[in-house]
Amino acid sequence: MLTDIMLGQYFPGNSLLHLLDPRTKIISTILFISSIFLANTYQAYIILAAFIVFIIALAAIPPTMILRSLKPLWIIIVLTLLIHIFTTPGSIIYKIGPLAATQEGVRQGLFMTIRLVFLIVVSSLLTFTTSPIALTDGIERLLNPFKKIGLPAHELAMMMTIALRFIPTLLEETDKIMKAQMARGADFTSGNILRRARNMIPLLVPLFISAFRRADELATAMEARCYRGGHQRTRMKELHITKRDWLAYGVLGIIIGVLVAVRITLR
Amino acid sequence: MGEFITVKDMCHTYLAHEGEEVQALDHINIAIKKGEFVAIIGTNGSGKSTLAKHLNALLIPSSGQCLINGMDTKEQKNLWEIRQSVGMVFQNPDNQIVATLVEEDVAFGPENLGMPPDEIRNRVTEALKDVGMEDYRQHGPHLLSGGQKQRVAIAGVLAMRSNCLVLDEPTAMLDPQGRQEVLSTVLRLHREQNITVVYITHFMEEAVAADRVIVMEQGKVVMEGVPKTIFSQVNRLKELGLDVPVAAEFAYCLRQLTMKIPEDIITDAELVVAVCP
Amino acid sequence: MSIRLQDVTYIYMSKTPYEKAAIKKIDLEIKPGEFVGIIGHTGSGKSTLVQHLNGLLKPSSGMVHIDGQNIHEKGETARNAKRSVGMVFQYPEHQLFEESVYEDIAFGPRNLGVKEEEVETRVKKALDFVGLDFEKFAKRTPFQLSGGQMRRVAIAGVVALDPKYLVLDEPSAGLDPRGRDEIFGQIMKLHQATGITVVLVSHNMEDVARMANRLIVMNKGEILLDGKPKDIFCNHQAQLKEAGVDVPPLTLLMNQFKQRGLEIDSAVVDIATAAQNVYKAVRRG
Repeated sequence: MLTDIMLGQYFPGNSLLHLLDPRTKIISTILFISSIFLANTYQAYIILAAFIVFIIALAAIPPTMILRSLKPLWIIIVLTLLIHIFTTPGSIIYKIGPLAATQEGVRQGLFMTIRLVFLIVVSSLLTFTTSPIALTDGIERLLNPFKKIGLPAHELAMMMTIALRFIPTLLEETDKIMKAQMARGADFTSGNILRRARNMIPLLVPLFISAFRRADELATAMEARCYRGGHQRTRMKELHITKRDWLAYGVLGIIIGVLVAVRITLR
Repeated sequence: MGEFITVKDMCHTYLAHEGEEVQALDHINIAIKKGEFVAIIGTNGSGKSTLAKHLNALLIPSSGQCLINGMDTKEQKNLWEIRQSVGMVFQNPDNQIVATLVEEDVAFGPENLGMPPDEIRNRVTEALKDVGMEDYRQHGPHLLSGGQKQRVAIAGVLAMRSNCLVLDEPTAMLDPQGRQEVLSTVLRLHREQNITVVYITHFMEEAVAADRVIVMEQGKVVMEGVPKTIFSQVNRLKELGLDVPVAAEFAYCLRQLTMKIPEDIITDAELVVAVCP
Repeated sequence: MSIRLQDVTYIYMSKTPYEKAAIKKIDLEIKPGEFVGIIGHTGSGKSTLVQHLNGLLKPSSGMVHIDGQNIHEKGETARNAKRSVGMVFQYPEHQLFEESVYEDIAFGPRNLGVKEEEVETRVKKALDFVGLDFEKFAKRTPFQLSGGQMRRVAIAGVVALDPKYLVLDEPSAGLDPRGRDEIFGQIMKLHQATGITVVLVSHNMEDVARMANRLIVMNKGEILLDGKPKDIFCNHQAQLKEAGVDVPPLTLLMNQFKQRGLEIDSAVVDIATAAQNVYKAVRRG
C-alpha cells in the first residue's frame, strides 16, 4: 500500500547529533561536503572515512539504515565508477572491444565513487538526525537574512511545512481513488508507457481536484486564524545556539584544517 | 447582557459559473448575545456556511451590516481584532490543520498574533488541556481520529483567546463517537468559560442542546426560537427537509392517533412522563 | 450462488513492527437478494472486510469465492467474478474525473468492453435509478453539480457496471437529511426493483435498522453479531454497547416505555408502528 512508504528519513533519537541546532547541522553539512572535494590522496580519504564512521557511531544510526540510503542511487554510483575507469587516458590494463580500462582511470573512478558515497551518507545523516519540522525551521532562519534582497524565506518554509503535513493525507487519498477506479475496471498496471500514462488520468484528475479543494479550504482556515504572512509573526519554538553547537563547529574546523594540511603536504 | 453579534439586513450575492447572480443571503437579521449557544440548521445550500464566514469577516456583506462586538466587518482596521475574537472550526478536519505536530498547530493562531514564545507555550498547554488532548501534543495530526482533529482545531481557537466559537458543521464527517466528543467539548467550554457558540449542524441531537435554534432556508431565516418551540413543529421541519428528534415525531404520531400529548415535547424523558404519568 | 468468505484474515503492514490484524478468521456468506447492513465503530474492521468482497484486498489467509469462483485465481473467470461486485466508496464524488456526467458513468462499462449502444442504455438506466434526468444532466460537467447530485452521479457510475452485488460504504456521509433520505430511497428502490444484493456499511444504526433485512455487527476485526436487525436491537443491547455502536434512538425510547411498565412489542424500526403499539398498550392498560 502507498501509505506504507516511510516518510522522510528521520530516525528519532537523543544523540548529541540529534540535539544540535538544525542550523548548525545544515551549515556543517554544507561545509563538510565541500571539504570532501579537498581530498585527493588515500590518506585524506582515510581521514574522511574515519570521521564519517565516528559521526555515524555518535548518532547511533544503525549501519543498515545508512546502506539503505545508498540503495536508490546505486546505479549512479556504478555508472560514475565505470565512466571514469574507461574514459581516463593512461596506461591500459584491460581491453574489452573498443573500451580500454586504465590504471589512472581505476584510481580516479574509485576516488569519485567514494566522494559520491560520502556525499550521500553525510546528507542522509542530516535527515536521519533532524526532524522535517526542525529542518524547515532551520532553513527558514538561515534564509532570513536574505529577505532583504527579496527572498521569500517565510513563504518557502510555510510551503514546506504544508507539503509535509499533507503528504500522508494525499497518499491515503491516492490509494482510495486508485481502488475506486480499479473497482470500475480501470487498469493501472498493463500496457506500454503511453497507454499507462493515459490510464493514469482517472487517478490524476480527481487527485488534482482534491488537492485544489484542500488548498482552498486550508487557505480559508489559515486566514480565519489571523494568518497574514510572516509579518509580525512570532514562533513558539525558538532556536538557540548552545555550547554543543560551538563544539561541533570546533571539531569540524579541526577536520577541515587537517584535510587542508594533508592536501598541501602530500601530493 | 450586550449583543455580541448583530447582523442587520445583511445580503450576500455572488456570481455563479454561468455568470448569473446568486443571492446566498437574503436580508438576514440576527442578534446573538454574549455567552449564548445558538444552533443554526438548514439543508445544504440554505446559506448557513456563507453566514458563518461573515461572522469571521472571511466574507463582507454585499449590503447591510455585520457587527462583531460593535465592530463592523466592512472596516479593514477591525479585521484582525474580529478574527481574533471569533474563532472558526470547519467541516473537514483534515483541511484546517496546518502544522505537522499537534502543538505547533495550536500555536499557529497565537504566532500569527505575534505573542511572545513563553506566552504561546502556556496558551497551547492550557488549550490542549481544555479539550482533553494534552497527551497528543507531540503527535502528527494524520494519526488522530476525526473527533480528535476537531478538538485540536477547537484548541487552536482557544489559544487565540477567542470569546466566540463558530463551528460550521464540525461533525458532518465524523462517526458517532467523534460527534459525541466534539459536542461535549463545545458544551463544556460554553458552560465553564462562558464562550459564545454558533453551531451549524444537520444533527438534531446536537441542535437540541442549544439555547436557541435558527432555521435557514434559501438564504433566509425562516424560524427562530428555543429548541422546544422549533422541534415540536414536526410537519414544518419535514417540509424544510430537516430531521426532528425521535420523541417529537413520536409525540406527533400519538397525537394523530387522538392521544392527548402536550405540543412541546422534544425529549424522551418528557414523552415517557406524558404517556405514562 | 453467493459471496463466501472462509476463514479470512487480513494483516496490515505485514512483517513490520506495525503489523496488525484488521480482520480475523471471518466466515461469512452473503446470499443473492439480501440487504445486509454492516455496522461497527471506526477501526472495527468493517471497511477492510468489504474491500475483500470484490478482491481489492487479498486475504493474508483464507479464501473468497464469488458464485463458486475463487476470485484470487488467475484468469478471465476470476476477473469476471470480481466484476460482479460493484463498490461505492465513502465520498464517491471524489472519484469523478470526466468532462461530462455521461462520460464518467460510461467509464466503467467501457472498461468492461461493453458495446457503445449498450453503454448508452446503461448510462440512461443508471441515471434513472439515481433519480437524475438524462436529458438535463448527461451533457453537464459533474464538477458544477451540487454535492448530493455529484454523489448520485458517482453511484450511477457503479450501478452502470450492472453488478449482481452492490457494496456501499457510508453512502450518506456528509449529506443533509434530505440528501440522505433521497440516496437511501434510491438504493431501496434499486434493491426492490432488480433484486440486487446490497451490502451497506454505516455507523448510523437508524439507517441500517430501517433498510437491512440482515445485520452484521463488527468489533475488533471479528463478527460479533449476525442476525435480524429487530432481534439484535432488542435482545443484544449489551453487546452493541461493547462494540461501541449506538442503539437506535427509537429502541432506547421503547426501553423507557417498558421500564415505566408499559407492555409493548418493542421490536420495531419505524416510528409510526411504534406509536401505534404504544397507543394500543395505553388503551389496554
